[in-house]
Amino acid sequence: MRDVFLKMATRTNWRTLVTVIGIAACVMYMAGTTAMVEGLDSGTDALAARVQEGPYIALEGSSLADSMVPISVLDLIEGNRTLCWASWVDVEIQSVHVGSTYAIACNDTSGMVTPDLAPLSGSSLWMGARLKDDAERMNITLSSGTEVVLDTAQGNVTLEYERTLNYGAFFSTDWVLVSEDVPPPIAPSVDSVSFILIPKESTEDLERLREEGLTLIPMTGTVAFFKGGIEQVQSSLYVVSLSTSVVIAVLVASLMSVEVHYRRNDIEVLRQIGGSPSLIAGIFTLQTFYVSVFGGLLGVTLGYVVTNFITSFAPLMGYASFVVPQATLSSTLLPFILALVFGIIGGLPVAVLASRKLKKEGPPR
Amino acid sequence: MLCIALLSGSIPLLLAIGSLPQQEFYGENVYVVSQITNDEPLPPELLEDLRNQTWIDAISPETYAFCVVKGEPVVVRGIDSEGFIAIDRGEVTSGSADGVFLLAGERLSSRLDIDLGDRIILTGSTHPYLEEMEVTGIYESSGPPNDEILIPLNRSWGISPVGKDGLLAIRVRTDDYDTLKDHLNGTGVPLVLGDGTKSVVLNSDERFDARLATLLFQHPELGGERGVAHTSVFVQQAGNSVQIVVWGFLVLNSALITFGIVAVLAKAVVEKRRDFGVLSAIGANRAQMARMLLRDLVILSVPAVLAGILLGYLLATALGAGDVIILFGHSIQPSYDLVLLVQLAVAGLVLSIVLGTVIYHLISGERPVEMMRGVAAREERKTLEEVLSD
Repeated sequence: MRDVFLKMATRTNWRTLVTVIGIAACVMYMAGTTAMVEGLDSGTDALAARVQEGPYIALEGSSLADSMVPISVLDLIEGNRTLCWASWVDVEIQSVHVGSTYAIACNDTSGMVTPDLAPLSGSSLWMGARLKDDAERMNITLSSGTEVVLDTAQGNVTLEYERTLNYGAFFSTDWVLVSEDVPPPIAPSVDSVSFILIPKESTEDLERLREEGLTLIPMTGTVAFFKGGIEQVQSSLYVVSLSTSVVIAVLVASLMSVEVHYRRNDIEVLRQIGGSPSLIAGIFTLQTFYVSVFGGLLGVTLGYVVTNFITSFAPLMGYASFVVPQATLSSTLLPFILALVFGIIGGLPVAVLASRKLKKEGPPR
Repeated sequence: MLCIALLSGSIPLLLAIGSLPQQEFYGENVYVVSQITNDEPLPPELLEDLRNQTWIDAISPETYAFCVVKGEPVVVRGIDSEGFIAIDRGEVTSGSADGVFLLAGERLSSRLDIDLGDRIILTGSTHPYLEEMEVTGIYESSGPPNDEILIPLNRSWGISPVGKDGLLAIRVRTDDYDTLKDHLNGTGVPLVLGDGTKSVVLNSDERFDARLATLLFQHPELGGERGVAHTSVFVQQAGNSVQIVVWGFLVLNSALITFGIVAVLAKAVVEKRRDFGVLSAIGANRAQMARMLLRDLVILSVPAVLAGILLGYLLATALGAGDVIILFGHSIQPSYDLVLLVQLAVAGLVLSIVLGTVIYHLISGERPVEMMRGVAAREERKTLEEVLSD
């Protein structure tokens, strides 16, 4: 009886072949689309790798002016770090209001901001190039030693212009840079800092700061932009796959239903030789399994063939791209497993129904 | 109905994804002038020259930077507000675009909960840089800027990789492409002129093949510094790459939906075999039965297709309204129009009727008695021994 069971469950004809091809189409869709997104992921990763990444900025909340990171957080940092204090000031030169901006003081022992920052003395000030342009448009000529008044709600301090922070500098060219020894009222607080710069290599420090609830922002956006963008693509793919999986379940169930319908004579033969309903259900379940396995294998293969065909021949039509479909665990195993699960989910009820129908119909003629 | 719903829901979304890179730069009669390499940036004089041409309707000098705002990737566009709004045809719905402005796209501001007066930290695109600006307005656009941040050109110089006075592109609206091309040729400035489908290199011996660009992109060591300098070509590559992924989705989607319809119709037709057997036994010929099937298919397919299109439309619209599909910071909105809806309906109907008829012809060769018994006539009746030895 076991031989009969196996032979009937694995019998192959043109209908079985059509069923295998149908399941293969579903798997091809999932494997192909996932492989293409993985290829896009890999391509954009390659683009991101070309870009030099800067340090991360760690702050409390989302604004420099409001951020107050407790000094105790520094105990969590084992590697290099630069401490920065930001004060919102009104800038006046020769009694003319030039603009409102940030005055930034840094404790930059690791030289992350600029190796030239150390000579900045307590009374010196570096001015962003754009702010300086604004001053010059107001007919104010700045030269070394020109007095610049930084006014805050708590009072003001007079510093001497020393040099210009040019475009391409670390901080906004609207800001002014002052020494950490700057006198009150913009002297750095001893209890807190506005933000901390952490090198991207210090992953453990960054993780600890993230756990502490600080906001971490990469100072070079491209890499994070592309990584975030690819995560969005993958999320979108899951949405598409989810809606598609409904169709795949219906498709596989329909195919198996047709197969059972056509195999009524086999069922009758089984009844004549004393096959029980559970044996018949088992045959169709096993058939569903092996049809799904072959369909899955064929589908994964076709998925790569079709997508590679598209990406390989697209340049001939003038569409050169950096997408190379990638075979990964998620683009091979996942569609295969889904086909298997949906195959069994679609086929099992049909198999059970077939066996129950036999029970209802009573003894064979 | 589910298959048609999937078809009518996914195609407009896929078409919208595919057109995103083009929408970013192009539009109706909008052309893009960009540098060939970083070594030869667009000179500011070119912008002034183009501004003086009467046959140009609108002109927008721009820079682009990739940033992360509130954890989400966001494109930051450096613009001259007047020229940009003239090209984009959007509007500032609240606040203003005067002075040192930061306009948040309307959809972006609602997605990330950005309000007027909020301060936003912006960082360098390809180099470390820190800037903080105040949101001064909300900008509504029918295109990608609805998901972007717009700042003045001079504020973007620190963020984008171009530096002071730099421009990554000059977008021009004119209905006279040939005059634009001739004029640019006459300036002697090496540049790339794109119309959304192709790019031409002007005033340079540089003939940068797209396939070579891809090779250099994948292996920059082959091209030295020039390998990473061809910004415009790489933008084109990124656009192409998205297009090709979309094509792949469309091809695979169509194959899946065709098989889905085949499977469902096969099941339906097979379940009708007993009826065909009875009809055949009382004298109906194949042509009569085919006509009846065709009538049944039309009666079943028309409401199924219409309901499927409605369901797909509702699904895609809900996905768009809920900002569920977001690619590189841009929410994908399905692009429906009447022609597309009619095409989808016709395609669904034709597909259903043709496939149903084909399936009928495959089974209609059976004898009436076999059809009534539900046994395939093509499979000869076999003895028990034959079945077991099969």
